[in-house]
Amino acid sequence: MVNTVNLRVPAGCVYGFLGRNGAGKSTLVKMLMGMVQPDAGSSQLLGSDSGTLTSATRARVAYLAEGHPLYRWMTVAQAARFAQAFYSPERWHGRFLDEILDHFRISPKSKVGRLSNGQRAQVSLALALAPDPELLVLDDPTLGLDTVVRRDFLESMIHLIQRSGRTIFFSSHILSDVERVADRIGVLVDGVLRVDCPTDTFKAALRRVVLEFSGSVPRFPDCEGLVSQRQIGNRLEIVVVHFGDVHRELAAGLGAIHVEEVEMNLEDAFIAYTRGETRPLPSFDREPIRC
Amino acid sequence: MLKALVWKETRELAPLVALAVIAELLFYLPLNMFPLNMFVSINLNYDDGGRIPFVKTSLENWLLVVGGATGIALGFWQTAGELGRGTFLFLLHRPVDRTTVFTAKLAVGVALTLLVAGVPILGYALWAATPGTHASPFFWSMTIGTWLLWFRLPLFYLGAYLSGLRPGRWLGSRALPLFAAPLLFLMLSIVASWPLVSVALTLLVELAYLIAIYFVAQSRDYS
Repeated sequence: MVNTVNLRVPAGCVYGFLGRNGAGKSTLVKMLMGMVQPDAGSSQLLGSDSGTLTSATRARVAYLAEGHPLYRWMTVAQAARFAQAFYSPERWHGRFLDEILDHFRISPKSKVGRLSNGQRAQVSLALALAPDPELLVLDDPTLGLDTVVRRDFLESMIHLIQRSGRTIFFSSHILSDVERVADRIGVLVDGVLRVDCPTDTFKAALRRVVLEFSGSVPRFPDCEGLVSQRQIGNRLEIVVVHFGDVHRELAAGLGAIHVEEVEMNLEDAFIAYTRGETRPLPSFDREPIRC
Repeated sequence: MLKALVWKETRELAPLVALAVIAELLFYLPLNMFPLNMFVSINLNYDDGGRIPFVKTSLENWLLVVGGATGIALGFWQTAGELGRGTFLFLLHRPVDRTTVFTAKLAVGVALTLLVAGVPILGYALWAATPGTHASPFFWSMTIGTWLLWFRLPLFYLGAYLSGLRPGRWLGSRALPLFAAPLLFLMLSIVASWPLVSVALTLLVELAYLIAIYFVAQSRDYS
């Protein structure tokens, strides 16, 4: 379910749209593509309303749906001919498509149903790129691919889709994929867009702060910038956006004997942002196991 | 573009049509030991016991079974099948308006349903019209009742198509249009004695189904 999203993707940007499973990424992408109608609000794609996209606008947008659905009974060549029939000859770059398939070592005679998940993703990408789209919308394009295929797919994708002015909007729950290619990220948490900023800004703004206590561990008071907190033994780990003097004073007021600030990588930052409230972790040194 | 859509639909439905043709051949071929022939007793190469073509045969029952089943299978395959495989997301993103996509699907589905049932009727009628093939009179007007029934067969297809396409929390409510199809079929058979009225009413009901299908196709979520 998507609840509150207010987002604008600038032209020429590679936008990574992050969220946990079930956060609403696919639903939002489908709304953008006019496949799902929102109860309220609106979205535009290349200046056209998503709910009523014209054929001309669709011709300028490539969409790779989750799982790369293609007709399994078709051969790759048949799938290409079928897709080509909807574009003008000037728009369709058949030779480029052949080159991509050749690069991926996929025979046009292969049946789509007999291809592996990775190969099907590659065919989908090739078909999406053949009409030279201005905007690519990719819904979790590496979902279900093993590490090696995923890396190859991403590298090929970056190489193939890079040209000036082309905008890419892709959703993923794999941080390393996003970190590798995105200029800007959005983080969707339970249907609400919580982050929309350049990737580096996101990483720089978040801090993990570890507070150590001698006695019982109190809760950190709710304050501006507090993303999450969790107790691990006699320590309290908090994640804060723009950690500053206000937060330091609050930490001192709690009676912490030691305060340590730790920088976070994108994965840690994402996990902290999307994990939500957690119960205290049990600790071996406090409660010895008796046999 | 339309050619590609028609090719895709025809090619996709070909296995189901082939199954229907095999079912038809089983009735046509002289396989008298085959149990199904006890249920439907049309056999062109067999002594028909003095039956009069299109009058004293169970052709209509047979048409209902094979034609209706084919229509239902085609309707569900084109909708629930495509939804289940997720390929609607690929198809509906082609740069063509949604109405064209669904019109192509429906045109192919209706045409194949009518073809599967129509060719045997025509074949049977031509056989019956050939002198010396049977010892009973034959006039082309005798085929009108069967053709009217044939004309009502797309109701099963459209019912299945709408049931497959419309979202529903459980199968029972989702399949209402399909459950309604045989009832409407029976109601329309009451006016079969007035061919023009029957055709007009059938067209009206089929039009209602089509309007509902286009409405659902445009308004439903493809998730």
